[in-house]
Amino acid sequence: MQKLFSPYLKSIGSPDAKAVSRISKPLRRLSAQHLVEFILFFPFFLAVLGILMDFSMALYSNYKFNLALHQSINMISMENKLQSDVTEIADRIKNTTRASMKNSKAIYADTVETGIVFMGDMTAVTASYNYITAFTLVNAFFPALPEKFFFKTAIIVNDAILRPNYYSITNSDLEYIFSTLSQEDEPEPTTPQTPESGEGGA
Amino acid sequence: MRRLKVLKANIAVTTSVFLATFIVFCAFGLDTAFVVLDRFKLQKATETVALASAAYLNSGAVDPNLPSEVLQIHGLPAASIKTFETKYEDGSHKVRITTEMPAETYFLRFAGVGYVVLKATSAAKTFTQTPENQKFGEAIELNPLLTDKRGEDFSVESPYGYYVFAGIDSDAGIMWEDVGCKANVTTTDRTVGLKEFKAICENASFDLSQPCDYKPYSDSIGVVKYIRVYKDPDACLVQPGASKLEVKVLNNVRLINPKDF
Repeated sequence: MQKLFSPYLKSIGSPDAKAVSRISKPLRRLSAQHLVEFILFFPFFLAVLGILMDFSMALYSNYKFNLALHQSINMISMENKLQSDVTEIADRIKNTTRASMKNSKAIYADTVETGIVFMGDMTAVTASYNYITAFTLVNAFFPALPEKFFFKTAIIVNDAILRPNYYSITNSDLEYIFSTLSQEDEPEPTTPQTPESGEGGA
Repeated sequence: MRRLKVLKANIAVTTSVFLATFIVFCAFGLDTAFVVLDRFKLQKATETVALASAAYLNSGAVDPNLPSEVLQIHGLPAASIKTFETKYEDGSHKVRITTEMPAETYFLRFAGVGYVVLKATSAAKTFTQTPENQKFGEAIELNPLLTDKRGEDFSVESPYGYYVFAGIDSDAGIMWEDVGCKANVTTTDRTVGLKEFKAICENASFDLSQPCDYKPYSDSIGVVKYIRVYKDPDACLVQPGASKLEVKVLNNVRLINPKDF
């Protein structure tokens, strides 16, 4: 600061040059203090920001993972599954979940694995998902973040959703076969009117 | 000069207070997010238990371990169940369940809050669905019926002897299967158009998961979208005698407000 102003002040020979010099010393100290404080604060700020971002991304990805699994099971349940087996249906759930996650920009979608647990009448579609944390630098000072988040979820569905279906008669065949049987509603039996029941009954 | 010193002290104090507050708020926010996530999981598990238990009760089966098994699949201990009530009212089975679970905190534990106790309540009931526009020989559309391995899936009442077919959408239009062999009454073999079908002469209920001995894959009917009933008065000496054709889906379960239990 002093160097900056001195040549100018000298050149004009002003008596205020000393005064400016006196003021510039504390200003210089103050600037240095800001710098030191900023350097001290910045790593904390970065660490907190990193942890926040990682946790937020993990939570968001977990939400998307659950949503994607629900969507794939819904989709599979609406399919007719006429030419399928259970293993193929399970694979389709996994692939659809991964695709749905990728579509919604959730990362590490390829770590999704699915399984099917048969428990009598009901079936549980289980799924796991790994979110690998990115900002692990902070763990050198403070173990705040795990190396990865392991998310697991289960959706209990009716066994029927995952079973292949067997239907053998086409619509036209069925209609042709039963065309010989009349399906018209038979007329309601009419009750014979007696003179007593009529309006003009005596 | 004095003013500058005072300013320096102010900056240091403000920074430290701001930093501490900032970190505490961030920690609190993150822990809250995790607690909310756990609460969501607990509610989902509780609703599943309620639905599964109501479905079991509807089929007449009793499995005391069912709620614990369902919770364990969701990664929750069986001890999470605090209350479990059932009752039968107006032709419906009703179930209400309350669960509790401690949710561990990541950061708040340093402030002395190691866990937060979460609670969830859910109720479910069974009900019967009667599709509209029921006519002989026409496809009756259902709110897709999922068969289960317990109890009856649907019932048919008819004035005349009849045949019942279950249907599903496919690329080649609707596909059908004769499900007469899954009725809970005696059936008669009748030939129609050179093929043999099961004629039924009584009002009957059908359990689609039951296998038919004479048919391969006959237990492979998981989802049914349509029911079709053909009448054949000539098949029976004594007609079932109902006033009209009525198909009812029996195995429906839905969530209800716990206050309506």
